[in-house]
Amino acid sequence: MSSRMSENLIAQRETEDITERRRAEELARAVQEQFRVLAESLPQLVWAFDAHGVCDYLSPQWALYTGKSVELLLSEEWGSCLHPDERTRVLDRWLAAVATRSAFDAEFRLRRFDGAYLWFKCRAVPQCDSAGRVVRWFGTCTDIEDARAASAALQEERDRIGRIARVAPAVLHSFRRGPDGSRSFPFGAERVAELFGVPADGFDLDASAAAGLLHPDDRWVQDKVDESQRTLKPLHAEFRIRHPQRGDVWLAVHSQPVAEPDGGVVWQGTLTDITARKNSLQALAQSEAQFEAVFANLAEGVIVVTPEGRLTHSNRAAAALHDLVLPSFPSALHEFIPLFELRNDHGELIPVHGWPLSRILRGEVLVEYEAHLRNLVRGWDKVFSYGGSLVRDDQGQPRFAIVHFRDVTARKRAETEIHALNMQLEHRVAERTAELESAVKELEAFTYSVSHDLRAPLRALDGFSQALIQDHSAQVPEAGQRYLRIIRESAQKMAQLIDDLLAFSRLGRQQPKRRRVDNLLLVRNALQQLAPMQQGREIEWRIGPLPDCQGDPAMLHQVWINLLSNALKYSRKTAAAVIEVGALDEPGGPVYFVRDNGVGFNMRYAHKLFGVFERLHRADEFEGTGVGLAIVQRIVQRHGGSIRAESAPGRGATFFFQLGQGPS
Amino acid sequence: MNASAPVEILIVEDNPHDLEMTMRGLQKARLVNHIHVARDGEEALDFVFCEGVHAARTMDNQPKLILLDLKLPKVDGLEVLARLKDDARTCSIPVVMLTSSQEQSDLLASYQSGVNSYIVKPVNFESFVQAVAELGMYWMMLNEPPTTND
Repeated sequence: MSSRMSENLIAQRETEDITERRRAEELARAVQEQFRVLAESLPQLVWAFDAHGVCDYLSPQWALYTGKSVELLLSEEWGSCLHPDERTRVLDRWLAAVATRSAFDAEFRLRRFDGAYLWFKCRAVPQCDSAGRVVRWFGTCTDIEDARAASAALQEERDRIGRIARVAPAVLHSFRRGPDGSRSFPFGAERVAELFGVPADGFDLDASAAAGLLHPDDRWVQDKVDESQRTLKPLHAEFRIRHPQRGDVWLAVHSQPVAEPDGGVVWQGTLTDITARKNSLQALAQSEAQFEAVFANLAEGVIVVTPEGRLTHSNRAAAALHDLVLPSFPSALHEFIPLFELRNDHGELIPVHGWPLSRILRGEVLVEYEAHLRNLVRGWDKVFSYGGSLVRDDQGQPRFAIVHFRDVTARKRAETEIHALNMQLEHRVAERTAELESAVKELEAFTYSVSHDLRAPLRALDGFSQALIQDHSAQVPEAGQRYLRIIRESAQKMAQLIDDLLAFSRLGRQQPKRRRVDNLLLVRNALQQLAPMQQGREIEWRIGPLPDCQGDPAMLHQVWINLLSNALKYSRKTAAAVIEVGALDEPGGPVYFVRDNGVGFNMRYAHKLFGVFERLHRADEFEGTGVGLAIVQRIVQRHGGSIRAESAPGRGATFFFQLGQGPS
Repeated sequence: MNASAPVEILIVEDNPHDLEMTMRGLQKARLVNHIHVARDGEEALDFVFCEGVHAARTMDNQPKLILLDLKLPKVDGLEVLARLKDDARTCSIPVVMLTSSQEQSDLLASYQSGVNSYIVKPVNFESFVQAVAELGMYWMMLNEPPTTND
């Protein structure tokens, strides 16, 4: 304690009784001594200021800390040991405290003897006299460097946990139940709130909103929390909440309770959103259920067998198809084997190692393998169609064999019948074909002999009539010569009939040889060929554009010849004959036509027009055999086309024909 | 006609009326000399190859022209033609096929066997006579056969 301070104390007592004064002095000295001992025993740096703010005491720790003597320190401006960055701030605070006579609190750095600045917490309080005047200031500076470091380390640790907590897939949290039953999330409130879909504000203090979100069916989870609180055993639970945005959300909680002194309990642990996993499990369960339902209700029998021959699955159809007394398929094959026999299509017994399952277990893939099954107990025979294969794991090891089968007895029987019927049919077809072939041959022989032999007598008729006229005209009167001419004409007419008929019948056997046909060229050639018919006649030809087509050129030439010669023939008696040739553009292709303004015909007889030897005019009006249009129609039909005619008596006739498209 | 006389035309025809008319036509064209008639295919072959009743004939005395009907008893015209054209001794004799019809198959077969000409016997006799006469003249006079030993 400084001498000035003790003097003040002494001066205060001067007016008092000397004894009193001495006692007081002794007391003061003792107090001063106590203060000094106290100040010097404290680890803090202790200081004192007088009423004017002048530092008049520094504890020895100052000297130890700064490396300067107390005397030197007292002579210096005290602020000189402050960190330059904080000097102004601290002095302002100090002046403010002095002015208001209130306690001074500040943290700042002081320069150590080695020049390092360490943090100190400083507190100073004014000592006032009975009149309220400040007498002195006492202060201490406490080294808070370690505390600050520890606090910083703690903060850093907290930050690290916070960072981990923010990014961890599971929500790290503390959940607290207070002694009053209050609920809160002292740690991790923000992410818990996010998980529950509620605002984070205040969730750390009051989390009662979370309980309201619990799924009605999962309220039991609160009982588990109660139990965990009571027993202090870890809490593990999976439950649903009604998330305000996402609907039902599955959560898993794993946490460890710790009792707190006030009777509350804090659980530390994780909350995890397991909705996706739960949903996929549910979907899997659903698909398994579906599969089971399909499997069970398949009409086809299915069994699944391990490589060791143990049956793991079989459906109702598997048992029903085998007509087994048992409610299901026997689980071991040795129970099944003695009840049945398998035979192939030839009735030969198939040994067990050749049975479908045996073959599949050996790695064969069976598709539509048919065998005759006999139930030795029931005594029936059926035909089964088997299929199946061996399923292997990733390493290629057999895992199980699937065999499926169905009853094809009815189909098999039908097939046998169809086969028999087919054989019959084929036999019949062969018979008919042979008959037809022989008929065709007969017909060919007939036409051949017609063309050769029928003409020979006609030649004789014609030839000898001619010889008679030439060699014996003197002996034959004029009338007789006329008869001979009639005989010759008739013979030639008959020859013409035979030729036309042969031509017509030849068309029936002939397949059109299709190629590109220039119809205009065909018409020109035909007109050239028909020149004799046009001699001495005045005919106006109107030949329009004639598109090309696909067809047999020789046959189509015959069509044009016949149609044009008809037009010429039946317009013979018309004064101003007009013959028009052209084509109409129609959807199925061009429709060609030949139109004349000749005698025409009555449409009532149109149906006879294309018949063989059918004539709509008498022979003395217009000559002809009645085969021409029949040939035209046959050629058009052989080309997949059609022909028709329009006419009225005295008003000419038009023949239209169209060819089928056919393969080009 | 004796066996040693040279033969200019061999007619193979089974129909007597056709034969008579053919002869009449040739007569009118003055081609009637040295005509021999065979009434079927077998006889025609015997004549040409000097066999059977014609064994006395010699192979060097061959006709300058053969008029061959297509349809013949025993051996038909096409076969006679094939035998003639197959044999080196007879293949150069011109053969004209006579037939009643224009059957495409007959015509093709004849040409494939090497026929020299082909005539369809028309019912109109005049045109037939004309055709035969023209052909006869053509083959007999204009067409020089390969030289023989005689």
